[in-house]
Amino acid sequence: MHRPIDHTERKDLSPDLTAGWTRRDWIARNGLAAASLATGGLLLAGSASAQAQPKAGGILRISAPANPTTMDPSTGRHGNDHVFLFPVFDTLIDMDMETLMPKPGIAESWSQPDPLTFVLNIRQGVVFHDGTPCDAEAVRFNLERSRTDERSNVKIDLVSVASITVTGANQVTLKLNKADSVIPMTLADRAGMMSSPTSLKKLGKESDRVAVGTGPWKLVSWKDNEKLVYARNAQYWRKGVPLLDGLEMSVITEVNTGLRTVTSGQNDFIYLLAPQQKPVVERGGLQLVQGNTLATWQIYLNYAKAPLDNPKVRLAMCHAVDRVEFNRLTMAGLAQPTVQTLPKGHWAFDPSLEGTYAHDPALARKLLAEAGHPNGLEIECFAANDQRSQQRQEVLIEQYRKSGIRMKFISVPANELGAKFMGEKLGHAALSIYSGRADPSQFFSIMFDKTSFINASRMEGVPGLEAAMLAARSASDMEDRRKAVQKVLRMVNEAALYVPLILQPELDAMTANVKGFKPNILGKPRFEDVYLAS
Amino acid sequence: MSTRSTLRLVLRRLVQMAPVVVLATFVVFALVQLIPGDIAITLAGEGVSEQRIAEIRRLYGLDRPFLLQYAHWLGDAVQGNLSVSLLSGEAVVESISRRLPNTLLIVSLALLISMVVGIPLGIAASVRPGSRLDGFVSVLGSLGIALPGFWLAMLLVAVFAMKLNWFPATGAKSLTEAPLSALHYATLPAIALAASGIAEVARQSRSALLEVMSSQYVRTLHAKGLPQRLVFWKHGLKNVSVTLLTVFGLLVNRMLGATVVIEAVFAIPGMGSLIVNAATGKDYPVVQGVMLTMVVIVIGLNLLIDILYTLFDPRVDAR
Repeated sequence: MHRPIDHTERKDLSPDLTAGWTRRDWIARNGLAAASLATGGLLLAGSASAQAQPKAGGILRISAPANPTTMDPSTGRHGNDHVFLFPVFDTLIDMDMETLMPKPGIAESWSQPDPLTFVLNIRQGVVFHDGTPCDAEAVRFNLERSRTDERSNVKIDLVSVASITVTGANQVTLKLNKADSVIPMTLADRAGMMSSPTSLKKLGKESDRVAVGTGPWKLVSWKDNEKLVYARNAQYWRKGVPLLDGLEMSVITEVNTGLRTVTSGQNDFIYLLAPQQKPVVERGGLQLVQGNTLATWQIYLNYAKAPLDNPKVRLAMCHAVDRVEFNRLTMAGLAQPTVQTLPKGHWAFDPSLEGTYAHDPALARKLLAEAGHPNGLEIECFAANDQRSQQRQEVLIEQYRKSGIRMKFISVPANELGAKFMGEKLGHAALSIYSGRADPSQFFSIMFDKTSFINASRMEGVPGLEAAMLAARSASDMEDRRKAVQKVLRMVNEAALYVPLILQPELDAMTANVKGFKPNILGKPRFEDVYLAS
Repeated sequence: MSTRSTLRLVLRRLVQMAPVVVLATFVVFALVQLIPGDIAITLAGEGVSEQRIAEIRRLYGLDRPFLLQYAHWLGDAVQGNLSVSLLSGEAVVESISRRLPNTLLIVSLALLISMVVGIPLGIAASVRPGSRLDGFVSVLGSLGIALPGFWLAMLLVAVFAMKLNWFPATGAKSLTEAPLSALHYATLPAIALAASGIAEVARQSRSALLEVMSSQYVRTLHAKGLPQRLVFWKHGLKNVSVTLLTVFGLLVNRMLGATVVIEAVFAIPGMGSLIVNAATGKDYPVVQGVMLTMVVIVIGLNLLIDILYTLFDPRVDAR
């Protein structure tokens, strides 16, 4: 049953989405793992991490492994963009990076008087970098644009929103066409990033390269595939933030070259390193930062196609993998083996699923025999053709061989993988990474919705899954939601709709003078609290 | 060569240039279609549906027939509009104008190093063929050609940037904004790029000089009593210059191609990295723009070399 909820900043940091839970309760229930969800493995390999008094000023020079696809949050198309967007844009609802719970952002509070109404109370005094006030009308304009503009890539996130109305000088009301508990998380992502309406109206379709938000830094310049320069927003509404005068993000796609710029002192910080680079970081006297993320290495399956249309074959694939060995051989043991994509400590993590998919070649062979493949079978699997992908393929070929599954990998450029496996529906499977979303329902929609491009099967994987996914998305009470999400996780697990392998760790390196940085569960660095020690 | 015939040569080359440019850009456009991947999927972002991908194809004109897409691009290019990158939205002209100077600086510096080091080495080797010095130059030449550019580049970074800290490990500076700094940044990449150039110039100048010095007219000059020094420096070297011009032209073409690898090692925002990123992403306006620029540069340079031929060797005009 729905309980009307009302969240304000004054009560506590957890939203009433948790129906009475406070952040303290939540952490208490989940143990220390919750608090260390993101920072679970913070390692400081170089100098000691003793925190001096935070010091304002200085420019942080960052080596970034990718160019942003756009600087307009609504037209962006890659998870890597967030690192470039966070400095410029605040979101309507912020996200606690340790607990993945929503917290006040540009909206100082929000409430849900009934399941189909979502009311946002906009903070007063927030202005965009060009001086335009970020009021209710600006919020409505942004959300309407994200929901309807033909160039918007976040339309899909706002599909449950039927209308957006200004209902007060600082209030916006969203009418939903169906109950949707993911809305707060949606507004904590790209769809909730507010751009200046003045700038957007002026730019029209040319908005991709100009970013005018309300965030802690202003975008000064973006030289494509070269460098992005940010300068402090002196009028920022959060007091004491940011500490740095500016950021300089150099785009260096080759990570070894990027790391060299940090060891040689040309840059101060690099993120998204490979585990194999850990010894280089340690030898270079840099600080190594390690954290858990939601990004998952997994094998996507086309369960509409024989032989994977047989659940026993899919289960055999899940049991044939030795995740611990896979982690040790491909990630230097730094990752977290997983059978459910969610890390331990996540609010929806289901402990009862741990122990399923135990590595058991004999069981895998038995399942194959029961499925009518006593002599094993061949699976065609697409994978990227880079060097590290080849290593993953070699490990899996050997592991699957022991269970009678002959993995025939088809190595293709990473950008072809989706077109071949999900577009043309070639092959049976694809080995790739899922970049991770804050809410499990977002993961379900992307992976198992029959209209999702990612779902190569284009069908409901198991009867009742769509209804279960809808229930997980609609439940407003936190405990109900947890149960509903775990029900979906169990259905997916039992039907073996994909083969989860490991959760990719976040690995960053920084020079000794960089202080105050914390990794987060999204694996997308934020720099608001970072400062440079003398 | 008279001014009139030079003008005629230039005009003839410019007329020849148009079909070459159209053919080259058409072939590249066709090849881009063969590159694996679907840019519509990339542009549609994460968590997409097939409906959204179809919408993207329509929005970006990717659903039009191949020839129509090419004709549209060519029509715009003729009017000076090279369009914008499909992936980043940056104007192609802006991308090229920002990156071309970085590539040209490295290539120019590498050519300079190749000539300044390679020619004296070739001369030294040809003065006493078969000597220890000649052997040393031969070995050096073989080594320069055999060494992979990326390996030498990484070695240079490890020693001169990481260990000795004499040069920056990566990046580039604008020659107009900070000339000295730009040269400082370009030194290591230029040396890495010049290694094979030095070898080639040294070998070619050595063999050309040996050939010239053993020719009949040199024997005649000796018979007339001209001192060896004058025969070598005045008559020998002048005749080698045509060979060196040819080598120079070929080196420019090759070095422009080789920058792809060198730019990756030194993280230099140049034309090489621009075209690689664009090609792998099927960003055809950028690929076309870069190709057009490169074709114009190569044709323009070949024209310049043809004109220089006529200055060094008047027989060229007669032919």
